[in-house]
Amino acid sequence: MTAGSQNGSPTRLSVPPKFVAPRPLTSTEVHTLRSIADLLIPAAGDNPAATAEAGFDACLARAIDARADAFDAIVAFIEPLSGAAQEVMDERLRTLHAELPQQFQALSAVVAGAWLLVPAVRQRIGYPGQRRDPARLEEAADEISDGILDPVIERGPIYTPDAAD
Amino acid sequence: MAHEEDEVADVVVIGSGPSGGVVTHTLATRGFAVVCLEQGDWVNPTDFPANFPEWELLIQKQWAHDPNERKLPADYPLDVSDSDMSPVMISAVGGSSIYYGAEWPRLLPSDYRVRTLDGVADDWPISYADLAPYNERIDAFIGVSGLGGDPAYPPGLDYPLPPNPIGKAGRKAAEGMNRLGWHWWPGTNAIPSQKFKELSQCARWGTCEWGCPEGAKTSTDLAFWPHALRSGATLVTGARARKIETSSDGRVTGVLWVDRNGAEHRQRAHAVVACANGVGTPRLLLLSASSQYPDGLANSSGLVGKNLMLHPNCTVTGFYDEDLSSWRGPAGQLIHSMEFYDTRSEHDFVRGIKLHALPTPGPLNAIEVHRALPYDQLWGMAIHEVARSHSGGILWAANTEDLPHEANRVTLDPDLTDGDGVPAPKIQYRISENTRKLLRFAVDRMEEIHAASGAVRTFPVELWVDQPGHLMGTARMGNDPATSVVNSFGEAHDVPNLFIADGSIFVTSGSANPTCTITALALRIAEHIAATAPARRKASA
Repeated sequence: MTAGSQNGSPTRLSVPPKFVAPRPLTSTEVHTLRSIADLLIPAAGDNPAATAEAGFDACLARAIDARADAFDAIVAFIEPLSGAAQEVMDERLRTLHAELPQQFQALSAVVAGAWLLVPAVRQRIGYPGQRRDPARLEEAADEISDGILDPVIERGPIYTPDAAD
Repeated sequence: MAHEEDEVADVVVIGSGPSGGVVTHTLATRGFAVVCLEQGDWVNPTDFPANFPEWELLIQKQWAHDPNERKLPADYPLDVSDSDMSPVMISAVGGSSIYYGAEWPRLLPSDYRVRTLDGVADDWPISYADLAPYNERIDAFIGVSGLGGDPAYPPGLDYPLPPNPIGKAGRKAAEGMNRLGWHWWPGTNAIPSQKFKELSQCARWGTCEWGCPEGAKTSTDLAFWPHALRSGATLVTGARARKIETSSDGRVTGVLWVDRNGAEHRQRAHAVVACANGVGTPRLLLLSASSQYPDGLANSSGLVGKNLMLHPNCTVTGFYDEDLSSWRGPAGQLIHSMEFYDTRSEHDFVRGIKLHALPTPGPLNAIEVHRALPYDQLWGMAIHEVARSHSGGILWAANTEDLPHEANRVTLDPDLTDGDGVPAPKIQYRISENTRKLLRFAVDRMEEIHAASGAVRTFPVELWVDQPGHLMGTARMGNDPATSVVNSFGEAHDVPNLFIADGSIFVTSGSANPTCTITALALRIAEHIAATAPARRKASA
């Protein structure tokens, strides 16, 4: 039994529709978010700033789609920051963090989430992504064959018997 | 006017999750005409968020555990304004097993005798030994992975498949336990370490609690439904049960349900089994009030909806200065501990906790854990090292035994309704002082374990408000109709052909993850329904 959606395709009752932002970010909005990204994720030692990574903008679009629920709040926050000096932006971010933590969570998750989608960043931090990685047949046995369980076994039973036992 | 389905089913099962899947399969294989009503529909392994690189963002909202966040068409809202916690669940074929971690510990013998041993709550009307044969048959049917000989259990406990690897993170956690001299054991999981029937071998995606992209977790849609459907069971998806109907002789006659286009249907049946979870089942019983049952169906004891138990969880995530490959699954428990499971005289609380160690997949998730830090210790120059910390994380978590209290309950909300205009459940739940002590104790012990294992930084969370989906106690079983809703075979004391087979019937919660016990009880109940069907037919003739 399926119900129809307004566009005629079956409604998935237990699967969310793919989140898509209500519209693409404007170039001004992207510019502001890039500035925010470099404040939250600046260069440090050998680590480049967020926007110095190739492909950041495409990842930003993907990230904001994934949190489309927060699109309006994010756009409303960044709109007055267009062209603002870094010091002003930094102060506004800290204020948002302190006073509206849920909004800050969404904004910073999108920015950091976009950065973490960049392949070079994943490689640098040692994250292969979630993927198939089945164990060898003997792997579980090998892991505990060096006696690591011996203290537990030597201690013996620890359960409380049923009073009827 | 409801549309009358032509066929009168032998049994209607409400809900297709772990208990509904077991009951339907068990009865269908014995030749019963079974119709299962499921308000959700199928979720495919390819649907799950881990299929996409942005999975860590997807689970924050659209694939959230909390139905009040997710708000899918199959979800119904919950009023949690008077609750310390938000019960979580998913309405789909397979129910909340779609999203569970598949940790598969049995209750311990003491769990069935809490009144006798500790002078609190009540004893169960069955014992560990009564249920063990059903546990064994379920384990064999679904292919549970574990290592036999766990000294936390009576002798003889073993599993059909070898354990899953515990990985670097599990070994690190185990080393700390050994330094403390505390019990631990390789985790028992309903996650096949080898290919088993419809299930793939675990490929260690690490995202078990957000759906397995590999089809390698014993969710009921994969472990039971293919077999149930091949055995002739009928599964109706998009079918939201709104009332169990009764006749003048007090027996149930069937179920009124609403399809996703809003049309009402009536499915007649010789027996009904409620498997809608510890919130959905009492909601439905209360919705089924009639002139004959003015306080709700099967509620002469007044206990329908009461004694809600939610296993309040706490966690301490630790980060280590070494690569533990913490993105690797299963998750699933790598190791578990029953060291503090039972009452101890030196404690200022009764009963105890079950501890389990899990990996911490994903760098954005690691950042989310670090949000407890001041701004400049997470953002700015610090973020690069925080992001790198993902591969050295271990999550220790604890289920606390949640004792039954009648004030913790499910009722019908006077204002809130679901998408069909049916009253939504209202959750009234307060954490008891005993549980508060358990939570604090558990956090302290988990900090000790991390210290013993060499963690460089830890993040305690004394209460997961988004609880683990363990919904229990709201239609408890017992021998006395004055103090229980059903007997030990799930049969309602008040209504001879109404059964309940989900977590609602738990008398106490233990602190073991409940799905293992739910499915064993469901098997026992289903076989009782089959065995007693001729007598019920005769009585109703």
